[in-house]
Amino acid sequence: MTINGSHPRHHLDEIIHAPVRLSIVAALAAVKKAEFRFLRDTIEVSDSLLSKHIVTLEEAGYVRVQKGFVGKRARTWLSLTERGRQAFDAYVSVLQKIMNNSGGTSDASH
Amino acid sequence: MNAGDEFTAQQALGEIGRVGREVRRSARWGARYLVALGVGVGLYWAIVLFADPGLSLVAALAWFAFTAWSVVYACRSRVYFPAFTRLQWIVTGFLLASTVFNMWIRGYVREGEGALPVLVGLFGIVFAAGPPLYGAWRGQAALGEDKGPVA
Repeated sequence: MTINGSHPRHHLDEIIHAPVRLSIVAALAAVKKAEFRFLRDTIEVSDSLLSKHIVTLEEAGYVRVQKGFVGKRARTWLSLTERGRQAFDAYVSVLQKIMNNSGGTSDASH
Repeated sequence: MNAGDEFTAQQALGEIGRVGREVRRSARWGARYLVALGVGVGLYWAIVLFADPGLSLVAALAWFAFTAWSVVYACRSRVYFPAFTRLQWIVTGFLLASTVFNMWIRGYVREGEGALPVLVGLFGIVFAAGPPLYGAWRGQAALGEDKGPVA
């Protein structure tokens, strides 16, 4: 069997197509911005794991990180960049193409 | 989604839908706040415009407490939604305008006779309470429309 690269799975964004990073991007796509702890509680991961994946997304230019203080309490705000939103929209389109190609079931495991 | 590094397109879309629903559920607090704001400001102006003048001080203290709570609520908020972020400026503008209007008509409503002062006072209450309540409804509607790629 030869691989000619025509299957939609070849267009999946590798940065987003990882379980935790997908959850992060999906959550941020629904909001203007979210605080780090809100994201952690929503996705149900540890602080360190979330931080690690946010660094990856930030380096890819998908996520913007803003740090500040409310009183004496440090707050970290996360939001998707325009590039991140476009990448997420494109990623979802590819997923839907994969689903359509496979008739509702998917064999596009990563 | 408990998958390791491998997951299917169906799982990915399912996770996107799940996370989106979870996040949008948090927006209910924004709508509840606007409802509380609308009810509170309506009661405040109803007391100031129509009730015994002695109650105005009580209303002012209650409004001060609500404002203080609003500041705490805003500072503790952990997520901002585009729908409510847009609405807050519109609602704030209407609240300021209605405050100026109601302060201007206050003397007329309290001392006037007949039905017209009453109607003007009622209009002032609706002018103040209506926008936050409408904002709550519009905000919830916008969140419901924006279901993301997967409902």
